[in-house]
Amino acid sequence: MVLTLYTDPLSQPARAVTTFLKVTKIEYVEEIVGLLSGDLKTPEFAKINRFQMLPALVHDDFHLAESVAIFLYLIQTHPVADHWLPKETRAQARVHEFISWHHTALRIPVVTYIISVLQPPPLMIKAFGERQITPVDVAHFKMRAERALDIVENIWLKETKFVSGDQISIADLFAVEEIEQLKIIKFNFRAGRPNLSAYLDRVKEFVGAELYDEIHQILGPGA
Amino acid sequence: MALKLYYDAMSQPSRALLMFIRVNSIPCEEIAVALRKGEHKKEEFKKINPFQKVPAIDHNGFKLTESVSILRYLTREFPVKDHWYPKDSKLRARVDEYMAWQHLNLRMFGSMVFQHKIIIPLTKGEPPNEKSVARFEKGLDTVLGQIENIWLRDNPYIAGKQLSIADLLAITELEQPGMAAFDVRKGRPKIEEYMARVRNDLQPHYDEAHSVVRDVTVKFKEVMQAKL
Repeated sequence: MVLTLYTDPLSQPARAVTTFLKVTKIEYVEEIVGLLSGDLKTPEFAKINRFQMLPALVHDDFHLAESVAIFLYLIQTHPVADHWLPKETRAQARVHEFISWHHTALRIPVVTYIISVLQPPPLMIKAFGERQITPVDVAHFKMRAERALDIVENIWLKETKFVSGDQISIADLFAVEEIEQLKIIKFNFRAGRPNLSAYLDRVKEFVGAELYDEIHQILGPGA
Repeated sequence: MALKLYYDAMSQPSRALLMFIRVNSIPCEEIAVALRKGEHKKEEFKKINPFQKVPAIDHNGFKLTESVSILRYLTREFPVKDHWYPKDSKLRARVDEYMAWQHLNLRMFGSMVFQHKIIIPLTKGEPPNEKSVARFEKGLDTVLGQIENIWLRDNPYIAGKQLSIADLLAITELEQPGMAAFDVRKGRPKIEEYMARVRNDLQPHYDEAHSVVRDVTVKFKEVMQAKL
């Protein structure tokens, strides 16, 4: 029974799954696929993941896309500590609630801002269509990213140590990866956000500083 | 009542929850929140959902937002048939796969087309921004192609051989662009067949939940014809 994860450390959800696999010590094989190199568009990769995105999981002959589905499948088929996705129904609901919320409310504003700054050709059309991006646009996207971070600071982390409760869960792996991605453009997400800053340290401590730094090396030193 | 649902039938995920609750005869107090009247912006509703969106539930004082989380929660809390969210890990994984994929694909583009063709022009009192509409319609075409050619290629339902909570999300999103005169069925026979199948499976709750969609579809056509 072989578990293979197709990943690129540049991909936030791929890093989230990688972190989980390494911390829980689930045995797996890692296959690096270039996110920006065109590898995803090949017919060979379409056989791995019909949606041609990362991450992708292959478990013997079972192929699974979407990091959320991958997480839930791994948790259902491997013994892991309860806190990752608590069995208690309300606590579990909160984990799913954050994850659902984050797709459009955190990931989109952060990714849009990053793409508007870096303007990498492979991603520009997908993100903006034919539209030309001006400095006014970039400022607008920056504001939306900041607003999203403020919601994490002021609502999700208002009363709890982690986004979905007082224990770390898979929701946190999604949260930190979207936030850390801002290091690529050297954006200081910690400034003026004490809850968020303490939270990121807390997650890093749980994962283990060495492993955390290794996984995030590709993003650069940040602000 | 132990379970309260805060909804607006104009909201796709609200309709998904309405149908799930009614089909499964889950005792529920359905509380309408009229988005068009700004009722979601009121202080009392902020206490239910700080993000001021529908749907939301209150179950014995436990407040929960996000339809995907709510649907999973309801399958745990109430006795429903296995097909809604199968216990088998591989069958379940396909449901989870769709529910994750749809946020930034069908839901995003379907909502954006509706927003940019109807809601924003209505709110601003201006004609639609043609470039934005074209961009989002193109995106919608792409994801509908994925529904037609990938999701529904080998299966009668979106996540496999049986109706699941994923279909509730899919079908309500597929119904939305029709209100803005975008025909999701055109040139997509599998989607057309799928929509008829799911509608049939969920009657009479399907037509009841979608009555406002029918009304708006007719009204929009009238408005567009009046302009010609």
